[in-house]
Amino acid sequence: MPTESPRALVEDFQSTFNHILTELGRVIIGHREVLEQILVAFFSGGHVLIEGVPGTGKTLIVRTLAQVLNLSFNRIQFTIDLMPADITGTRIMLEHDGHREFSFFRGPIFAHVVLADEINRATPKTQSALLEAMAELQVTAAGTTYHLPPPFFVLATLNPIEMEGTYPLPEAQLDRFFFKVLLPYPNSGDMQQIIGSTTGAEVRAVTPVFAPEAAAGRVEALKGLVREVLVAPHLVGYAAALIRATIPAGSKFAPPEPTALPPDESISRYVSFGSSPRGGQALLLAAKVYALLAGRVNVTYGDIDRSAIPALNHRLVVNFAAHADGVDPRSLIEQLLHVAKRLHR
Amino acid sequence: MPAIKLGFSEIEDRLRLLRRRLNSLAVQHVLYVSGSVTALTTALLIVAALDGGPSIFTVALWAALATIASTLAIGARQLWRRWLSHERVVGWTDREAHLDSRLATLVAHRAHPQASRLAGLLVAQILALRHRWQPQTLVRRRVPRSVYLFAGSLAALVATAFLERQPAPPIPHVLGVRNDGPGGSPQPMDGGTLLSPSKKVEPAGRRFTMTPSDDDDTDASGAERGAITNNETPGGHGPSKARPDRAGGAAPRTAGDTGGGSAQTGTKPGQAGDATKRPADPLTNRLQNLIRDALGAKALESGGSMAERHTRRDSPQERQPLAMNPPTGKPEAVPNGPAPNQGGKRAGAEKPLPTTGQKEGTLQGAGPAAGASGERGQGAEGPLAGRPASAGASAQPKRFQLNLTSLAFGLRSLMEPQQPAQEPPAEAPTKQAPSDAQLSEYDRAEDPVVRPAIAPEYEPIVRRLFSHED
Repeated sequence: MPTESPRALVEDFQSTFNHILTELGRVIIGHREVLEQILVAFFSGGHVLIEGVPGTGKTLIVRTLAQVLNLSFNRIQFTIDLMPADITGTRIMLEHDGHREFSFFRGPIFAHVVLADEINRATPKTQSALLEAMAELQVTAAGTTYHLPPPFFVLATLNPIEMEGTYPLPEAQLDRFFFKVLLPYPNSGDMQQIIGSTTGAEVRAVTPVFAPEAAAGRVEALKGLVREVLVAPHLVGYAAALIRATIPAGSKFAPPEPTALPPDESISRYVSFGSSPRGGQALLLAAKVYALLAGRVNVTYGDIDRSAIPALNHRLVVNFAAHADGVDPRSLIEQLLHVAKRLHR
Repeated sequence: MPAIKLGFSEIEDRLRLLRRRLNSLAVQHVLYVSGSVTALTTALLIVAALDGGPSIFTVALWAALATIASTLAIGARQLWRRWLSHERVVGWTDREAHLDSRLATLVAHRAHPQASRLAGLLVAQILALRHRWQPQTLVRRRVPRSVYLFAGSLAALVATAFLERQPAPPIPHVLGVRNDGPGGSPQPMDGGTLLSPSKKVEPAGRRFTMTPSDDDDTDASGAERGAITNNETPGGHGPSKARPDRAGGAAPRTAGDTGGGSAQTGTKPGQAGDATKRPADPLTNRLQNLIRDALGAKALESGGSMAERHTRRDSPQERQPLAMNPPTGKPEAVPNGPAPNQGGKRAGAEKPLPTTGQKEGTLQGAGPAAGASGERGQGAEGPLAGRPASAGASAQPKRFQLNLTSLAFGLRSLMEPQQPAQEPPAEAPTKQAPSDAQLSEYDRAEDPVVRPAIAPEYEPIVRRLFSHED
């Protein structure tokens, strides 16, 4: 039970975070950085898009997380014939005591943790239904609005290799994800451990961190603590400058004002659209989590830098020239951080 | 939250102390650097005043002023940039003490409080790290290192006081007397030996030079030796080419530029300047002399430094006459000698002019009117023409020498009752030089030299001084 002392609050956050991470590590071998980023997004109140090749444990991560947090969990397997009502729920006619009435039947989105598996296989209409719920934290069906129970956390997976029969997520929908995490192949050591541990008779189990009745409340309290982390004005300016620097200079949507950071030629050449203000929010919120994890109650430049790549790499829309030259958003952000580190501090 | 206020007061005290120290260092640094530049520049200026001529000193003075002004401007700009406001001190402390923006966050939170339970913890963390940002640790020095530069500059400035003063060497073969104003005392022109101080020299604002021993080849006529000339060369010897850049009447005139107006050009006396140097600014000249006086060096003549005069003398046009008339040591004025040749003759002529019976004439040519007339080598119609020599002119010559640069002489001559200066004689109708004069090629090329006007009361002295002595 956390006390009201600020130091105890911070220590409770740190211990809880590390406990969750440890429990996840019992099942998920390797991918510690990915797990940490997922938890950062979780405590920041955002949603995560995991991109990785099949068989790397995307679904396992989400399911294990729900078990560790002791929160309700639903999985939605996105297919091409999935309809929005299949996600949000539908009204059906029920008969009670001789008379019939419509009743709302809640869909799988009504859970604390939702796994949207292979989200790019569903049609844009269905995707939009999910993304609206993610942004608004509510679902409207037949004129009635239903609020989603907090905490609401969506983990969507993306399969990058099967492009046929898929519907790539539009940029506007990608923007609604707090982080986009790349799940790489495990290294040789992790690979060996995965193969050995998952083919035996022993089934690894996790211990929930929270009690079932208190889990949601505890998570919300920790998320509230994250928002209380203090940020100096110059660091807010630094985050804003980073976001502004991702906007290409020639863009007609660029604000007509000088930038804090010098216009980057690579950004102008390879980026069609830069990050939205949501990217800045993600930067600061994630930086706050990183600050708490470091035992600080204030954000630093390093915290913002650390959260820049997962927060911005799916918000930079690169053009054909970038694809042709093999330039990905991650390298552009790294270059931007290098310039910012040199000039802005 | 009293705890936050209590801790924040300590933090604010430290920040205030840090700011005071940093800004004090910035001010001191700017002051020391500016002072160093000023001291070094002043030292160089003193050196220039002691060893350089007026032109060099003028250049040095303006360069020094420009340097000091630039330094002050840059220093002010530096101070403006280095002056730390409260916010900048906070940021600086955060960086230097590796506080991870804690101070800036706390100060911002104090200015605009946010709803956070963590502010107290932030204060506690900052105070827990107080060993990192002690003012004595962050700003160790109370005095910047530039104080060493300042001390070195001051030492260089003081060292200039011990520089060896170069006494102005006499120029023996040139005698010059200058009187820059009515009632003024004669002053030396070359720091050499000149007339007796008891003798009053023409106070008409003219200068003339005497060439006591040159032109030995003019003995036949006797007209050349001891003639009062208005040489244009610094040494007063030999012909000099017409120099168009000598115009500049406001310039202090030297022994070398004592010439009056040119008969050919019609320039008036005083318009002819020194070709080898630009006229010095009286202010800078006065300042240079002030510096020299203050440091115990002899005041410079208006003709420039010794180096400049030597330089001028080394010009090709002047080297030859000098070679013909090597320096003979201390100049000797020969008073009371016979004055067989009192006619105005031009000194420096290589060949004697024919004695035409007009040798006994006036000493003319340097007065305002005479300069305008441009009479050359003629003195027959001057106001003193035909005057007999003074009573003492036939006495045995006495040798004397006087250093006119002595302060005592100047003071004494100032204290002596001044004889009323007579008006310069009216401009006499001049006579054109005979076209068939046997002049050397230098003389033909040279502008007509106008003889200086000698006041009547000084004429016996001049005659006596420039009388021929075998």
